[in-house]
Amino acid sequence: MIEVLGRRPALTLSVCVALFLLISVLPVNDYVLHILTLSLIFAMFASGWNLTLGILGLKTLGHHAFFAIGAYLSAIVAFYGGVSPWLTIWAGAALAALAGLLIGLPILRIRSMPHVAIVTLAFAEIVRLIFSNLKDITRGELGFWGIPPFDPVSFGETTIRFGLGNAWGSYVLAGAFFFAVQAGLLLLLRSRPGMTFAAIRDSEAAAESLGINLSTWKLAAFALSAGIVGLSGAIYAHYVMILTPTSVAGPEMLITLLAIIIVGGAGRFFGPLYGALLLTGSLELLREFGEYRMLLYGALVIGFVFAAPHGIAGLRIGRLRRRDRRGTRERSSAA
Amino acid sequence: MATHSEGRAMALRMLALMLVAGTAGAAQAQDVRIGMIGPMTGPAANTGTAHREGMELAVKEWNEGAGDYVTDQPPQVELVVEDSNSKPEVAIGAAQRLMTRNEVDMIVGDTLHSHVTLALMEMAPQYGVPILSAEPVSSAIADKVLSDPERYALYYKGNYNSDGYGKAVHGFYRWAFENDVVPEGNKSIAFVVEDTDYGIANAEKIGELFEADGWTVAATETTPTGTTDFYPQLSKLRGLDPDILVSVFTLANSGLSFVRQLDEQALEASHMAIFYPTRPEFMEQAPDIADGMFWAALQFSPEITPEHREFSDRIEAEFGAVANYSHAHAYCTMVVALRAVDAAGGTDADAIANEIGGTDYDCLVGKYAFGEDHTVRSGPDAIPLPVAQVQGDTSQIVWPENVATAEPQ
Amino acid sequence: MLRLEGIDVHYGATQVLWSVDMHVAQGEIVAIMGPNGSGKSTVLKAAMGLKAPSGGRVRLDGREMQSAPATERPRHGMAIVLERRRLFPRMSVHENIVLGAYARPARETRGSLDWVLGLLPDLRDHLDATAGKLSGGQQQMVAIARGLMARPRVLLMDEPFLGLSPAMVRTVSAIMRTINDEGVAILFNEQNAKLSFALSHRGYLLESGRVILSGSGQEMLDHPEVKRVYLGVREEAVR
Repeated sequence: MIEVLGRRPALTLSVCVALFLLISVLPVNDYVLHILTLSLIFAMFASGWNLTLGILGLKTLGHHAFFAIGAYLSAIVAFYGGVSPWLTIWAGAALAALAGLLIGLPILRIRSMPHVAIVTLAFAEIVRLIFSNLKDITRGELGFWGIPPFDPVSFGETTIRFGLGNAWGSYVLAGAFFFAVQAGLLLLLRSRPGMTFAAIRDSEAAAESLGINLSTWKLAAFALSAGIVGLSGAIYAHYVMILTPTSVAGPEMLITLLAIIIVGGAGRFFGPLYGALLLTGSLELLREFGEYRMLLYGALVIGFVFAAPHGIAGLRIGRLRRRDRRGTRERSSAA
Repeated sequence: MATHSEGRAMALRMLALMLVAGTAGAAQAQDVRIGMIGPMTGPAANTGTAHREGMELAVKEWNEGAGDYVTDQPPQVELVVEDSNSKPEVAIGAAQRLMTRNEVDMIVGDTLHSHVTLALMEMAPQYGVPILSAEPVSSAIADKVLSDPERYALYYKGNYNSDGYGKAVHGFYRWAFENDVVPEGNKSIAFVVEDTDYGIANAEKIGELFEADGWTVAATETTPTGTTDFYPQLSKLRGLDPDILVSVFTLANSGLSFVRQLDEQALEASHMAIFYPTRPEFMEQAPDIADGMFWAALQFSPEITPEHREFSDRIEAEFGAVANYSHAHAYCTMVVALRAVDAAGGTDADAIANEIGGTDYDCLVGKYAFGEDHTVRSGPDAIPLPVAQVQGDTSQIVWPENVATAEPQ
Repeated sequence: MLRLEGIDVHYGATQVLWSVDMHVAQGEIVAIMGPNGSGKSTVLKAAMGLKAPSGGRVRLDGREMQSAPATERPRHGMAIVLERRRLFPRMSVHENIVLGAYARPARETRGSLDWVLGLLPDLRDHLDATAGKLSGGQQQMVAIARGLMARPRVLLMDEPFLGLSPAMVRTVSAIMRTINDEGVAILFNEQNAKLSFALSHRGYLLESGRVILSGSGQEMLDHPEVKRVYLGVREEAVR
């Protein structure tokens, strides 16, 4: 599990939380907070997806559908039902988890990874089309607006507000959710389920022979993964307060998130956070280059994949000293 | 030891990102700084580039003394362009960057997308900055303004509402019946439209306006984007024999196929084509297959409008690009913004917003004046959505009368 | 204790096992010998439930195992060491071994680990190593250790000597005897007739999915058919 979690994952997570808190008390401007908020939301999306794509090794490419399901359901219930987003996000996550179970069932029967990829991609396209055709409810591509932000929270004198324009509150909220999810995942992965997932990824045949029920565990992973992605979608919806089927379930979302996972380190616990911070951050830095921005961004992603094939989380400081361990990793991943 | 260096490495990774992102770039001293947000990258980058060129030309002329000023001492203006990548959250980032880093006094954007604008307009009340969107048309934006006028006091929408086309088509036919250009017949109208929000929303709006006049909608046929075989729809319509047939496609290919097949089927209905005739690929072949066809909307026509020709030449001289409607609209939107800043006599947000609201200015594509919903008015005496007719080798504007270049044939 | 009765197995439309009968009694080491493609591995997979038979039954201590999926069988006292080890290459040796106790109550893990490491003391030095990095012989030991963690009464071993050096073959053989002395019955397959039957109490000879011969290890070695075909072929191949 060292490969997935790194050494001392709890310490690394604590350092991340400390940095997150430090930034929240520094005089950082709204723009930087917005970029960090988006990074945290996408990092949560990527963490959820990483469960199936990286840690379980299933080539599922349709997770932006769960993001859209979580986002739209939470937005719809909050908008039409007048229910607080603090509650509706859980409905969004639950529906996404259910959808994960449903799409997980046929996928269990498919052994060929390219087919898994195609089935999940097609599923995402169906979800996009559904949201775009439910015009009476979602307004389709015209955009679903009027989504309420999270209700303000008061602590005595101070009131924290959320949603677009309330950069500080939104940053703290996104961070709180992200780190809560990370802590939960860390606990999970360090206990029996984590070992089980890793066993399934390393060798399904061996896992099954030891008494691991592949179907049950894969379905559970699918539901959990979809649920986390759905929750991140719901948080996104109440932050940006506008949804269109293409912006949440379109192919661009897929590519952005895939790049985050690959650059960060697929199958590594901290990969999504590093990837989201680096890619969201660099995309902003590249604004200096105007229309060459996306070109440079693409080059950057390619460069990273070559320089760090195991992602940022797979990089090690003091590489030479630990060449031995590195050799291990490489040989085993080649196996 | 190992844990130490690991934790530190990670801390460094995060801090490096933060620091670089926070470094402020020095901007030159200018009187007023205006930010522009549009799709400079992504699927709509072509249109975004046209917007940038149109706006850059407006600012350049303004700074060089060739602007249409309100006061004697117009401010020097700096334009800062940011990318929205056609995504709302990216546009929000761009806006926050413009405000915290460039300290802009006003934002023009999004230049193209309604859904991006729906998010972006939230920045106006939050940061107290005037925002003027350019090409977006969605009525949802105007509805949002009306739902809370106080909140969106600083936001204005530089294009008409999405019912503009419906009103234009309806207005043209009302006029055409009165002037015996088109016979009214049995008062039955039919649609063949692309299965997109654009196609369906237009069909619904037009149908609604005609039904209010006692017409019946005989059929609304939808086809997937990119369809080129319309025989099933057309043979059905032949049986229904409508008096008016409206077609809406965004792709020139679909339009070309439709017009050809319609010709073969010899329907007697008056045909109104929406949007696809604005595509140059369609117009190249139109004289052979669509002579006499009505279409909407001819808003930018260098071939027949001297003013447009002259603007097109300026764009070409400056950027080496062929000007289109998006250049013209962006240019005019920026001029509206520049004049408002000039008239406000400073960078006070409320003053600038007030001046935008009070705009009454004739530009290339029509007269800019804003309604109660902070939206530019459409119509014959505001921004016209002219109905054109293919006449010989060119298209001539036949309605509204005040901008018509030819009589309908 | 383990009894296969009339097992038929199909891969798609192709039948690979034809009414195979075998049994393993308590405390026995039983070998399945046969050429490549004779269905040796399939017998083990069918016994473990990793491949569903199309006919026949598997009994463990007289109990029908047909309804129990592969994931249930470790609970009933069966374990399998798969062909080519099939370790979890990216996990540590310790993690690999502990996962072997997956089907057992967690409180037993500690005790089982001590028992297994007692039988395979060499592994103590490698517990933190990444499994995929070990040599083939070491990997085989880990695989056996993992299998033993399920505290099986019968251990199935698919080609345990595949790709091992002669010295390692001797070591693994010795380990199998030790395990057997602990009361664990073993059913394994191997292409080498001498090796198979020297190690086992009894053996079966499989050809084209049918059992064509069975008997004690020595009987099998002495059988003219085995001598002519397998030992002959084998010696030629070795030379």
